[in-house]
Amino acid sequence: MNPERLAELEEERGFLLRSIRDIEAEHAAGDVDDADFHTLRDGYVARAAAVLREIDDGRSSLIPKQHRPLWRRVAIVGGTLVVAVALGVFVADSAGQRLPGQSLTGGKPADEVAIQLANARQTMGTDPQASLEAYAKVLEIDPLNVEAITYAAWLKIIIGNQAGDQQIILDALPELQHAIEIDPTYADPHCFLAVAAGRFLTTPDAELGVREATACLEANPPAMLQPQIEQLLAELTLGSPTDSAPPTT
Amino acid sequence: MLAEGLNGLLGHTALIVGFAASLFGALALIAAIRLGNPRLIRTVLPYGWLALGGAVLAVVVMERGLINRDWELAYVQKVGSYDTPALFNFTALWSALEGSILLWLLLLAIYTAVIMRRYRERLTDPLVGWALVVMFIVTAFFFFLALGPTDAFKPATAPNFAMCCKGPNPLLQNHVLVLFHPPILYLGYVGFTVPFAFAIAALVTGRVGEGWLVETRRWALFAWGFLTVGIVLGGWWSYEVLGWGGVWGWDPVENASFLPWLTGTAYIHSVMVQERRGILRVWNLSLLVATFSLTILGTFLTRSGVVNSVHAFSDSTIGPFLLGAFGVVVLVSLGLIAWRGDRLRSPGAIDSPLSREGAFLANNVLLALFAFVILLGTVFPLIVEAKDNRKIAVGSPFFDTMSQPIGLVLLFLMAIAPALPWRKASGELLRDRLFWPAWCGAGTLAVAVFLGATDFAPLLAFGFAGFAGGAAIRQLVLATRRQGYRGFLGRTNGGMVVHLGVIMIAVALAASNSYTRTAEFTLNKGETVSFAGHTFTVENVYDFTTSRSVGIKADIAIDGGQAYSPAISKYTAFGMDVATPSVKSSFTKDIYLTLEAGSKPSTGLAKIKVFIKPMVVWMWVGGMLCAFGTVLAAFPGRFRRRPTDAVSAPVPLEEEVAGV
Repeated sequence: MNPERLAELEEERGFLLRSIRDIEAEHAAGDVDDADFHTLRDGYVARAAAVLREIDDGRSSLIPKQHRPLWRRVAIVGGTLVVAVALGVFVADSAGQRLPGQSLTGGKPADEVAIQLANARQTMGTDPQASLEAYAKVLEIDPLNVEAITYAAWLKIIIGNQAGDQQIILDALPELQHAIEIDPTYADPHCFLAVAAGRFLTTPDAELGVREATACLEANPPAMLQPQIEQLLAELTLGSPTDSAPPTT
Repeated sequence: MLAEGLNGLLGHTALIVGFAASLFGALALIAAIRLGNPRLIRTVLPYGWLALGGAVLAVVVMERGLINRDWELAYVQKVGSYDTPALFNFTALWSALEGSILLWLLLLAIYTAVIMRRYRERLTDPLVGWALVVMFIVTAFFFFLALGPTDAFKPATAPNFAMCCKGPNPLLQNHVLVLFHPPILYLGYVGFTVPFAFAIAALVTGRVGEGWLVETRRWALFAWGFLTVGIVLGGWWSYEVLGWGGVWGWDPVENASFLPWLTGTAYIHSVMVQERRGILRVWNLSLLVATFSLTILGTFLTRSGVVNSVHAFSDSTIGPFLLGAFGVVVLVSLGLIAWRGDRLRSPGAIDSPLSREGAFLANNVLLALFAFVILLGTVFPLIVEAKDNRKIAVGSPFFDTMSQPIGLVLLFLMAIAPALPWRKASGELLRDRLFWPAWCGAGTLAVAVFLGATDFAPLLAFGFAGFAGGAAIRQLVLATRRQGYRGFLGRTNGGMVVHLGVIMIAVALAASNSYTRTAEFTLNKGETVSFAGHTFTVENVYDFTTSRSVGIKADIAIDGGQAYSPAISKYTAFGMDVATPSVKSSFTKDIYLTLEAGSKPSTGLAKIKVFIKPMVVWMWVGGMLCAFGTVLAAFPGRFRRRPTDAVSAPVPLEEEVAGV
């Protein structure tokens, strides 16, 4: 039976039951005499019984619940779960630290650059690979971002040095030079180039080291870098590079 | 605290009357339906008019307060100022939480009154009665919010003009679109209350067949149309005001508007399947419940302060109530669906995936997936913050990465679905019907490549857009051949006009996201620079002052012609810099100029940023087409196709009907 018809019957049932109650109240109050009361009530009761039978028939003719095969249910639930978990992993992977004033989601490309730079700075000391990935995301959005170019190159140099792989270091040097070309007034690539040339190359390039260390100091480097670069410059100028620790960021 | 003035008194009285009228209206209707008393049912009409009167009076009084600068009201101190121009003083009503709830309330009361008037002869029909009960309850809830947690008529302390009365947020007093975007968007949000109310009424009365769908078809369509136009206008406002060169940034407010749009779009497609085939009953009810609940959830996300910090939520006056309302709506709706489960079983099934209903189902699955992705991305930072007390953000790349493939498949389905018949399509029929649309797609792709388009995703988008556009035009051509101008009317044909609008928006997004070129220049007055085939000459850099702001402006001549004047204004009351871009628009591309910090009128130095953005205008034209198509779809003309007619059956002509 059509649900609309069933609902109509149920409404009619409500009307008939209310009418029976109504006629009983009228009779009890003495407004309807016994003969009329019995005639009217019997009529309503008969109609209500017919409607109730029809409702019962209608309910029994409703479409029975279909039992889907187990494999189909498992496939639907499993598929939904897999999609949900994959999306969860992806969104977790895409999330980054929220900066002050930063929107909860989305934002302008500049905001995304700021988020990824913050991520990169945060993970630089603990997870260089994650930091490198964050810088790569910055460079996808803003290929000329001088901080990302500089620090991605510096991380590669550190990784190359730890792995004893000179080629990684040599490959990273042009990236620092590229950062210097973009913004010659930015101290950090000068400082890192000086350190790499003076300390990390198998054959140190003292001339490059001195030139870049000087440029670094002239460009007002970060306070934590300054004493280390001054020490490096002194060593390179004297021609006796030492094994002192490279600058940290 | 100042004593309550006339505006405060009138406002509170109006809200109390409205609240009482909505509440008593709901209670009286419930009693009348339960008792089956037609005379009692008729008595609810004055309650509806009283509620509307209360809402109208509250809004009028608040506007009066804003226009007269009634500093006795805390809300006027919050968003009013002596310096705000009349237009933005008027729109200040919806520039903050308390006033925007008043606007919501006004629209809800109007919808309720219109429903009451429209169905005044059928109030004794339990379906209409219960739908009105739901409308009254929702209206009473918003009256309650306006009276308590977001009281716009709260008396203020004496104004300290050094601290207060600065006017609306500078971004909301910078463009005329502020007048249109929020009310139209709210007309969409609030409009979905009507189909939701009828859905609940259908569940309560057990009349879960196709009858209630017919009642709510146009209401859902209008709500969807307003929501669509509101979203497009929001993008336009963002483009013209925020100065970052984009239209959509996936921020929580945008996502909150997009979520009900996605589920609403799914609904207006799948409802046709139910009307035609009697299937997807639970799905359609769930989509309507989801659409309505997402408007509540979106309001919670954007109005409770939760986006700033999960912990700010508990301090918010409105957050717990909205979250509670969301929970109640979801639980009650799901409970009713479960209760009526035996009547919601479909008499049929999808015979073949290669059918119109199959395509609609696929479209629905994709739209639901899209909504889930956006919802997940939006609430994920809240969950992490609540659990780990760690503040994170989900950036645009997540949303861009996910929306691209889903959008492409949806475009493909828009091409295929109009050609599919109900029940089952043969390969031969599909070949025949998709022949010209496929050539349109191939032609569009070839033109795009010829014009220099590169990269796989945008090229695919252009190809599918051409394919889908061809399918929509084919349908319209066939319909107008048969029926003349009436071939543009009706749900199917109006829907094709909407499809053309959506396709234009998709093409604009693909082109502007993929091929925008940007450069930054520092130029002295009189200097010229070339970029992307255009020259930019700095003619002048100068200071300017208005009653609200001081700033700098540069006149930049593009290609030696008309000068465009991007500016940076510092709104003195707020100390906030607002960049105002200047845009040269054409049908193929926009040249979007912004002035950057560091520009110096004293030395004639201008730092400018140039965006060359292809096809942005298509987005606004597409939005207008969507609105136009919605109107065409809602007004089917004199002779309407029955939902059970074959897809290609002609609509009967006047002569045939008259037996001539």
